[in-house]
Amino acid sequence: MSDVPLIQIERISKMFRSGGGLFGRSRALEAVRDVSLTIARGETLGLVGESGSGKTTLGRILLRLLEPTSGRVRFDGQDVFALDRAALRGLRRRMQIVFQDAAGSLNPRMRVGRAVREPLLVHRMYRGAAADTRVAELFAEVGLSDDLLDKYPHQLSGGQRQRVGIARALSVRPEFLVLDEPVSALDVSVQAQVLNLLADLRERHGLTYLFIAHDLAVVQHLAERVAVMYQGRIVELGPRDEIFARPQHPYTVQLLESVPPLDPWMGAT
Amino acid sequence: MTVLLSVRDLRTTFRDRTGVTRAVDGVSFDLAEGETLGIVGESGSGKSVMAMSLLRLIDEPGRIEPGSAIAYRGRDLMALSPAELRRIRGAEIGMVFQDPGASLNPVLKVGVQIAETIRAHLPLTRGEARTRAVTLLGQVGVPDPELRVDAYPHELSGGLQQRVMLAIALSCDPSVLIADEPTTALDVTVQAQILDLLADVTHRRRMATILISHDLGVVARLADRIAVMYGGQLVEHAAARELFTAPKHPYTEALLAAAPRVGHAVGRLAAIPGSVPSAAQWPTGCRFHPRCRHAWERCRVEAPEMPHAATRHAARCWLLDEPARRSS
Repeated sequence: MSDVPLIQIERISKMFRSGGGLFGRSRALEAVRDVSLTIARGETLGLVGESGSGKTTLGRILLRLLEPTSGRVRFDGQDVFALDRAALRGLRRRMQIVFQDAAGSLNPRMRVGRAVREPLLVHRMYRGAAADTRVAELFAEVGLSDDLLDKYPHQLSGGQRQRVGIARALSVRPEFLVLDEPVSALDVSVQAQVLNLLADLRERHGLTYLFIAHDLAVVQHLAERVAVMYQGRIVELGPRDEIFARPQHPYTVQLLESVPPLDPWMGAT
Repeated sequence: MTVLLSVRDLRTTFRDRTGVTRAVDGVSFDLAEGETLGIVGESGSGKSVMAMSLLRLIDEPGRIEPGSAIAYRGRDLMALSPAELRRIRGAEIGMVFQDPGASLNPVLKVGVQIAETIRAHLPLTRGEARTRAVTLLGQVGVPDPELRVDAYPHELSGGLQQRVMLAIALSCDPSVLIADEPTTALDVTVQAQILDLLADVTHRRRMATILISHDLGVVARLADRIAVMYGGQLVEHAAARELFTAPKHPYTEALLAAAPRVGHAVGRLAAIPGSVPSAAQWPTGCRFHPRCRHAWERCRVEAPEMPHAATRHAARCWLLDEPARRSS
């Protein structure tokens, strides 16, 4: 393994044009402003911000699902936006995404076993019986019973669907996962299961995560470092315990103080 | 303390070809004057259907079962005519919902929407109602209320929209406010402002409040008493502090342990196995037994009862009968 960080984000900015219509004047919205970050191999970086902070846009740019207006992203040293189609396909296998809303990201008419199998075929990694074995293995790995293989997404609970989303992302043996609000749609009791699963998988496969969330308490459980995003900029970045114990930026302070403590009587903030 | 709202054995069901869904299944509680009651539950626990049932806002194929009793200041709400009910809604009992964007009319100025509610209940002229709307917007912390009164909902942020909803709910000075996930759609910094506002307004007006949320932290911030809902039933209720420091029901305990806390890192979270059951088919016996680490045979076959609604700290659990069964 090299010392080069797996992910290098160099001065990324992204502008969206909004409004306009036929006669209106269009406005430029700067969703991401001059963001630079690195993520080391095996590290989990938490990216925290409220709606409109630009955190999701940044995640999409990393995966080349969106083009930045300026700046560069390197994955394992390679400039992600300079790759040709063949090289891009190789890269796409190595980085995957888990969305907040597994229901919305799974095809409602495709059985979930097939949904997990599909990327294997797209990336020509397994065929026939070997693909079936791999899918069964993945189901076991994320804690899904194999009698769910033939179910449709709507027949599963929210937690089960999110496990399918994770199995699908893992199927092609990626090195890097963007987790975009992976537990925000889940009930508290199920949230904990999925967070524990993500921690286990990271350990077992040496995965690198970008964990995007609005919820500080959730991020805290997995992230070694935390970046706080506000109005398109990273306003604070540091080791998790530093950020939580001694936040420097007024916005981080405000964010931490805004979370209602679970148990105000025990001073547990 | 005077009891304002008294609910006994509330049952709300939905019927279709596949059978009966018992969304709310025997809920009883009292709400006293000036008190804030928090109701906590996960999705599918029945908490929102319960809130809608309190004002009889349940449409076909849903129905509130005979035998359910809801009394407001001693008046039986189940026996009221639609016209009488409308007078109670808004004027006596106000409501705030999760999604202000969906609850406001997008083509009407917010001032008009507030004035409409006022004039539905009070004999005021248009001009007087408008003046009152401006005052209310100021009271719920909307900046420049004389200007915002003419804004359309989409011109306001989510936080301001929720303040407008609160202004509408408060417009006729209700004695009871029902707030169902009032901050769930909001960012955490805005949520903190709205919770402060709710605390301030309900305290100043000595309003009794039912605050419904999936978030224990939100409920802990405001509630004097907390009831925990699971599987269409209340499984525990107690003074807020006592619920957090000495929970009796294994579900409450597990929920507290499973919630990630800011500043309390880390390692593994104490997850609750399995998932929230479906109202179409509740588990037999105690509805939490498939996920409970203490469960034994009795829990699988026999459903525990909830002690009387006036009990100070009540839990629906056989462990209260047989404490020796509690495994550590």
